[in-house]
Amino acid sequence: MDCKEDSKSNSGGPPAEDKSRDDVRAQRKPNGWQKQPGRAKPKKESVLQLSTTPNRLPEQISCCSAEASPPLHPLFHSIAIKISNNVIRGANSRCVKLLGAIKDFVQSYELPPGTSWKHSLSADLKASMDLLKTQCPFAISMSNSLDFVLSSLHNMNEGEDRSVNDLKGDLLKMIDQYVEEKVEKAVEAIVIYGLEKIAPGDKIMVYSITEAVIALLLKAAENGIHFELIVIQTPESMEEISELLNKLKNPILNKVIEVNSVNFSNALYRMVHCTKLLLGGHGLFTNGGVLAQAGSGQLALLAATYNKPALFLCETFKFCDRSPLDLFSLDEFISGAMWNQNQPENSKNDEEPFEPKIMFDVTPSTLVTVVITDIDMLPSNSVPVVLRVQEGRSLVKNAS
Amino acid sequence: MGKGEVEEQEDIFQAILLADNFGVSIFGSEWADKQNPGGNQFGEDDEDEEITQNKSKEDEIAPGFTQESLMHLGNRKLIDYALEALTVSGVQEIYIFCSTGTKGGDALKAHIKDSKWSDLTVKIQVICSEDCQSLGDALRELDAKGTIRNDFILMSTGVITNKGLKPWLEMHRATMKSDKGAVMTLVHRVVPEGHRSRSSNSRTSVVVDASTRKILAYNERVPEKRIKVPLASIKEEMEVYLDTVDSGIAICSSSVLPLFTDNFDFANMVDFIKGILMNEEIMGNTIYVHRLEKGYANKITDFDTYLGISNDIMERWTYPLVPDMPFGSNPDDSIYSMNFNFVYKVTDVECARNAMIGPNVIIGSKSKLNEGVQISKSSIGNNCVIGKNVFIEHCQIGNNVKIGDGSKIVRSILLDGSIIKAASSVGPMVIIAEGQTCKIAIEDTFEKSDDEEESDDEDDFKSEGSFAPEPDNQESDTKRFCAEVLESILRAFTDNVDLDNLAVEIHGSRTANFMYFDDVPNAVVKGIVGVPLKLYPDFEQMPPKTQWDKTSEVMVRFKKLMPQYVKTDKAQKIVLQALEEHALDNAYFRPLLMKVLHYYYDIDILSQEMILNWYKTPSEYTGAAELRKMVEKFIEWLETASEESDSEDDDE
Amino acid sequence: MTTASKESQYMALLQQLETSLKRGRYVRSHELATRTLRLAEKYVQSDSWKNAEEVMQWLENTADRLTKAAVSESAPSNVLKRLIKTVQEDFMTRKNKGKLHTISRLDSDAKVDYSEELPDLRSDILGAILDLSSELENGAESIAEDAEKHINANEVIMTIGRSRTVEAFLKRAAKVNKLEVIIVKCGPFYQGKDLAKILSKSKIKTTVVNDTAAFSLMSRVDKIVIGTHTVLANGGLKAIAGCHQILLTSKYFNVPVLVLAASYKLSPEYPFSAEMKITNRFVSPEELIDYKNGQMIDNVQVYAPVFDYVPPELVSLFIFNMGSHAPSYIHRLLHDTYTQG
Repeated sequence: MDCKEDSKSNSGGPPAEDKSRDDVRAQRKPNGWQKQPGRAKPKKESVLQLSTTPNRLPEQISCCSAEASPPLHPLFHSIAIKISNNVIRGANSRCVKLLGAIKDFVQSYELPPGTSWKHSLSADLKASMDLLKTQCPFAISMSNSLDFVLSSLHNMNEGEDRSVNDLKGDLLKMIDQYVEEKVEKAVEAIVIYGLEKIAPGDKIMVYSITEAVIALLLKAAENGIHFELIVIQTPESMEEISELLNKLKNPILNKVIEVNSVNFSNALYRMVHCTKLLLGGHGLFTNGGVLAQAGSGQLALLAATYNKPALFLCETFKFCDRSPLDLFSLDEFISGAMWNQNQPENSKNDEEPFEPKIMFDVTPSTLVTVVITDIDMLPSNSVPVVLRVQEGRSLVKNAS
Repeated sequence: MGKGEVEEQEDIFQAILLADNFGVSIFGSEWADKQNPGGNQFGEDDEDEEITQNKSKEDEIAPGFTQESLMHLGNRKLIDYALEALTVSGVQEIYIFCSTGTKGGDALKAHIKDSKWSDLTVKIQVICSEDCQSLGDALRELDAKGTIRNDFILMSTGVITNKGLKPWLEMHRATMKSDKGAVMTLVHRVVPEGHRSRSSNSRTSVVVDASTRKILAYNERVPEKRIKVPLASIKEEMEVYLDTVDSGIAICSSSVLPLFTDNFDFANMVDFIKGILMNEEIMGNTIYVHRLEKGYANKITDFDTYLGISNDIMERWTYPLVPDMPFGSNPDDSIYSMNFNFVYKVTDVECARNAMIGPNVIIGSKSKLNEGVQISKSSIGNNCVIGKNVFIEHCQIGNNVKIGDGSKIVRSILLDGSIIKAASSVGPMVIIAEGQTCKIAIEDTFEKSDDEEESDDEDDFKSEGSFAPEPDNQESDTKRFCAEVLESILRAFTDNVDLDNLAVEIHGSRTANFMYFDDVPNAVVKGIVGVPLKLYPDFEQMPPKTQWDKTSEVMVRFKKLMPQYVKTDKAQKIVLQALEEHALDNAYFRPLLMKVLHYYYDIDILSQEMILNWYKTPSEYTGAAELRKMVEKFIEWLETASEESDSEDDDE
Repeated sequence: MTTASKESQYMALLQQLETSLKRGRYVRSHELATRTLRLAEKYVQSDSWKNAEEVMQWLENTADRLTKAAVSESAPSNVLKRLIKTVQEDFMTRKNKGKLHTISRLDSDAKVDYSEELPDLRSDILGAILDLSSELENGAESIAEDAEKHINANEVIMTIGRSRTVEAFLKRAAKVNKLEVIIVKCGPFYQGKDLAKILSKSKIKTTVVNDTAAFSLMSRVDKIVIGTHTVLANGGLKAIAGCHQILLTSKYFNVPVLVLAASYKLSPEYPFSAEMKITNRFVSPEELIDYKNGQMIDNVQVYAPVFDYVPPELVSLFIFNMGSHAPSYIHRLLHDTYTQG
């Protein structure tokens, strides 16, 4: 019998006075952010090549203006804090929020005299983004959308008859269009394609819950398809799961769909019963690997062993032209952010185990049955084709 | 007393377990009457679909059935869970208090002897008493016996927990060290409102000192979310618990029993707590509460919690007290194995292939389920025979029960040996024992709080936080309110009372019955159209023209009353709904409905838009479709009337 | 001590053991095995039996009884069944003592009459019990003796959950070679964290990750070393939930898997049905979902099984305290340890 007391229950007391939640969390939040923007060379203290540079709080970085570049613009600073504290979750919302901040930045940008609007905006934006990348995890969706902004800026026609306001307006419109097409409509398109894959009576195991996944399941339930949902639960994904279940509240209560939940370790127990595995992707690489929440690789492997299809949902704007074979091959600027390291204060002390929080992993293409995107259902190694065909990409590709 | 250390006397861990709730039953007063056959047998209203036997002597049911702690839960007796929790925690002496006299006590003793409880080194003693009417009496009697020497655990009936009790005892002793006057620590488990294992009548609210967990104010039923804290008790940091329930476990120090003896008016726990709080300055006694967030501890208070907790058990929240763990049983007892969907079966159960055994089901040894049976969220005892195509949901069925083909059993309890005829429907909230049927009611067993209602805050009603919906109370309150309003209007009509006075009367009724402002148009319109029926005894026989005349007389009289209550769209909706309900309930009114609607449309009480909306929305009530047919003509006229002339926009 | 009290001693022990099993107060298999052995010792010491047949009968009945008390725990019945075999062997040895040409074939067709009373059988059996008990005590160390052979310098070892056998193994290996350990803390109880603390205190470089991270890290892992709850008769494992997935991943990346198990974990139990079901233990779903979320628990079914089945193809090597073997050899081990039928 469980005789342990929950010590948390004894800590009552009033809420933290007057501090915003973000601030409180930021100060509690440690470590592991790289000091310099751009490349930092991680110290190889272990075979795993994990960076063990000492820690700095994000706010402190922006305050030390002496040697470093100018401090981070407050718009981006708040984004940085929110993202690094997981207030803004999910690739889509992070991208949209970032673009929102960029729009505000552009809107409020004051042109220093005697310079070209295009160039100085571009330079300043790039500098801010570089700084931002050192302070919070920069998702693929975010970097792709940034590429888009920079390349559209580059391509803009700064003729004599165009006032700064016109240019601003155009850029803002382009950003809006991007958001609408690539993010919102993409989700709708995925839902349309995805609905073909959900049949009545299906038992769908779902993991790595993204906006597309929620939208698809919701639409299927609204269309009256009776299916059973098996939710794989991990402590990190509790928020997404509650969001999913909240959205599906009505169908659940009306018994249109049934929901079971198992812990990640017990996925095997339900894998034998399910008919398909549905995962949301955060990024798709040119070698066909899919970046998704940590654990997706294992589940895809499990599904392949038991001959269940593994479907990934990924919008095209998350396609990325890297080819990592596994998580470690990802470039430092992704990997540093991906680690979300959680090293305690006495990191020098060998007596403490090192506990990285691994948030993502790469599922190799052999384990992926199909990727449902907004342009069609594709096999996972069609990324290069899509990237080649799509316009407006890659002029500024590897610069950041 | 109140020392925390062990002295020369042996530190025997003692516990008092209550075997029943002193005449109040989990299943409502009707069943409680059956438990006490000597009590009044008035008003026994057997609405039966099965075999019934009438005569009063034969109404007695064997105490083996009625003894509350011997009820089934998860195919075990209720008391087994409590005894397991106590014995596992190392309790060495258990005193079971039974207030139904020797018959109940004998049944208990027999059970304890038969099961393995008597084999253990724990000393279990059953104390029976016929005279005890309340917890207070019981504790006084125990105090007189002098058997309790130390701090002890007081456990109510129907408690299930999987936590060890010893750490709580240590915790209480530590509290006593720092506060010599601490007499009791209650254990409250976090179970928010609306939870399936929390009674809809439970509105426990506790205000505690945040650092010490000492109780500053306590209430078990407050009409709104409001609790009074005496000024003297207010501390700097307080916490209010609105989401907990009393788990039925209290760790008491040895001075609790003398306190009960000294204060004869302490009848139950709430009295005790309130009394201690009130006299805190004088007597220096304090009560603490332990808020439990992990682990399971809950108490069965009424039928809803009974079902909720039995589902909790089947879903293994109470692990290791689950059906497939062989605690509290003889070696020969059947072993359940758990299958998918939380279905627990013994290996010798026979199930037909197309039986749909839904989630949360326990099936006892040698039971037989025939074709087409559908069971969910229920438990079935040993040696039962369930006929073909029977539908069972949310039930607890005892041993040796036979259910005929095609029956439908919902939300009921069938005790051992019941026989249900084929094609019967055992409706919700029924308990069947030894051939007798008894209705289960969810009653508010707690006492009304002493806090008075302040009548000047009717506007606060609207802004009050969300109410836990309580179907039974709400309905009876509403009915009462409607009846009162009808009376007022009738009197106003006959005695020619001023409309303002009538409004005041209605208002008074409203606050007395805790009605929201929105409930009033419902009652008022029903009252108005209901007056003629009450006034003229032969109203239903009158020709329709006369009926209409009389009704319109009343409506005209109260023409100015309606606008006071029907100002918003929502109120209009309510009026329309009320008229619909009234028409469905009273056949005579149906032909009149159309004219009533027309009239109210004419005097701008009801807007065209709302009437059309109501007409178009399908309603769940049976007969609503026909009703709409009857008013079709009016609706057509209404629609065309809007095309011809500009209808006023009378939305407000 | 009088006969009666000796008898009551073992009866009391049996009662205690059975009750604690029934109540779900599961402890480690090691402790269960030790207690069961002590129980058997008390029985053998008492006068309740006259010949080998009665002993074996009692052992079998008790094994059944204890299995009924806790279906998912096989350690008690494994120990008792092992003793049955030991008793048989001792009987045959004793009987054939003095005879020069003995063909001791325990699987011969000739039916052996075990009801013959032999005078020194008691001391023989007690000796065997003593041996078994010391084997139990030293199990972890004897397994750890092989550590240097299997673990080379600068390797990255992954382990799952918390196993004391693995702990001893890794500590021993770390004395000789520098190694790095990745521990997958297994939900829902996350015991891996405790192991991490212990290992880091022994100056082993430790990393603790969630179960979800195993796939990402597997490409950098050199070996996997795990303990298990039970080794099944087909060479498969009944291990902590999550093992199957991680071992599938290791197979995908071709990482060898070593399973450390003491002898009392070897069970003659087969997984049954096409789905390879095992006698699992389902605990309270409290760790997975909050009880107070009433709407959720009403509409969502949550299962919390403790064990996983791992098929024998995913295991590279077993290390028992009597030697290392491949999964295909388990049947022979079973034959040597337990009687047939």
